[in-house]
Amino acid sequence: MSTTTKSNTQLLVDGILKENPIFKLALSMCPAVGISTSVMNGILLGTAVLFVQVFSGCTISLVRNYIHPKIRIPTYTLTIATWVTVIDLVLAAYVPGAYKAMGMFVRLIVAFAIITMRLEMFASREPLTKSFWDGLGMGLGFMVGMVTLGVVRELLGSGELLGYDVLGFKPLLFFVLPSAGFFVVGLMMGFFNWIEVAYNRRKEG
Amino acid sequence: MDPVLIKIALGGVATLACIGLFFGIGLAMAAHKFHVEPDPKVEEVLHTLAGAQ
Amino acid sequence: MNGMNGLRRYQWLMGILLVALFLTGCETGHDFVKKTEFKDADKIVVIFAGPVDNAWATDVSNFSVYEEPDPDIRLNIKEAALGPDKTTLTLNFEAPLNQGEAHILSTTNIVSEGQDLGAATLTVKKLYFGILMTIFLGAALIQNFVFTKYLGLCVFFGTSQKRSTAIGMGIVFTTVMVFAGMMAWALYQFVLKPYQLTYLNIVVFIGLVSLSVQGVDTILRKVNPALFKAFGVYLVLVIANCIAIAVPLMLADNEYNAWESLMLALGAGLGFMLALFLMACVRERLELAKIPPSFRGLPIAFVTAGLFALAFLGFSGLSIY
Repeated sequence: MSTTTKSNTQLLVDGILKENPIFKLALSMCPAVGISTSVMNGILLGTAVLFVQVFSGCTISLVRNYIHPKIRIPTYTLTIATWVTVIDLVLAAYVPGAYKAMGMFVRLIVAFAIITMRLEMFASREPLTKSFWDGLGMGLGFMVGMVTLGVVRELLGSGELLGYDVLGFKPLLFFVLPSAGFFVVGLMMGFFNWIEVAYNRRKEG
Repeated sequence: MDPVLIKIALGGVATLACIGLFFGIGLAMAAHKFHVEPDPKVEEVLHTLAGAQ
Repeated sequence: MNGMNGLRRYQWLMGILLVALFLTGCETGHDFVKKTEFKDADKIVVIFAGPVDNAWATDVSNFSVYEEPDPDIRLNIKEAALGPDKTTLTLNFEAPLNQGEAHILSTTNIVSEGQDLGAATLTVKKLYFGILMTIFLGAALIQNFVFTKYLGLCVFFGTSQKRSTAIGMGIVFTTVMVFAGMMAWALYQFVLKPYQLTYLNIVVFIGLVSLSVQGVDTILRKVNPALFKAFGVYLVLVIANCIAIAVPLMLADNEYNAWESLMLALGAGLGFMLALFLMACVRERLELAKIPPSFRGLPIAFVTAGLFALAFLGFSGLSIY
């Protein structure tokens, strides 16, 4: 029983653009402020979130008819916690350096509102394939958001991309300092709003 | 497989089951002891309001 | 008035608790030694009851120091200096000391004005109360979870629009945090760690937080319906807060004991409440301010939070004990 009329590709694209978890839904802001200082962090945490989102979505979708509605939220939480443990142990074993740089954030994926919300709104109602594509879209949307922030902060802050010197000078060192996260996210949100307003005005006028 | 690993895995399952059972029973007892009769008036009002956010 | 009387009834209990906490740090182990304490990062100061012999006191080989858990590792003393009053001995170490641990200082026979007063084994430790206060202030101000660790932001921006909401959320969060923190400590120390099940940390801790929320919900609904009506809506938000899962993980990583765990949970809760309240005060005024249209709402709130984060950097050097 499927209630969505969207095709698989539509689900994927919507997750990245129209319902982008960071810039559109404004959920899971903690990592966006905390560790978006480099592109590498964004890619790694994005991978972890993608993994958890896809696998917990598929799991819930498979057992959706057997979950008692009264305990559905605890079920989602425990499912997410299980997959977070898996990716946490894998990352700690294979990329220990980067894992340390991300601190606790990998383990904190378990409390990201975005994953629980998608399970409640989508995976608990839709069949396996749809849930898979939705999870992929949401995970990629999160990764794209994190990488965008990472590119802006790394390029403007230290003139580098993925650790390679690109600009040769440092335009705004402030951007790469840890406490500047709030300013960067706030300014970028305002910037996107401004573009949207200007675009709509041009379309009308 | 290494028997130690199997022991740890089974221990994890058993521990989680015990914790779950313990707290599940605890919560169920608490819910029973602190049971609140849902107010029929509230239900009624919510029913008439349904759909109007 | 009633509340005041209730408070007074518990005052003696608080007094005894405080005295007990202070006393744990004050015994030294030898009659002639009045006090031992840490100074700076790499010094131990010993204060004697009377003047001691200069030649004895400045000879480094008369002293040996180790951390209580590792008696085999002797710490290297660089220099021993006696103060002009001949009662204050300062031991300089080559490396900074780990002041969270108790240090054992054993001396050869103490020589004072020609008399031999026998050997001494002294315990040097920070006042336990000081360690607790450091953890508490660390969680609440210096390493504030919102402004310097960037955690719990979704709930932070969601509930900081009005002062009343901010206080309600803060109180509920602190209560649940203390419950969940203590349960997490007990489960970690007595079940997960002894049976090598620490890989289940995340699953068990998030379960505990949900359980505490459900428990508080059930009990509050019956015991105090008025309070439930005011604060019930915030209970669900606690689960979606990263801090609620970060605190149990931290107390497991740092191997805190019961008191330290309690202080961490309390500090995290009160620090979150403080952050919410400060932010709500500013955001109530931002409603009336002239802000460019594209910055209204969340963007300007983020910039405000950034200013607070810079202000909280000022706490980074704070240490009372």
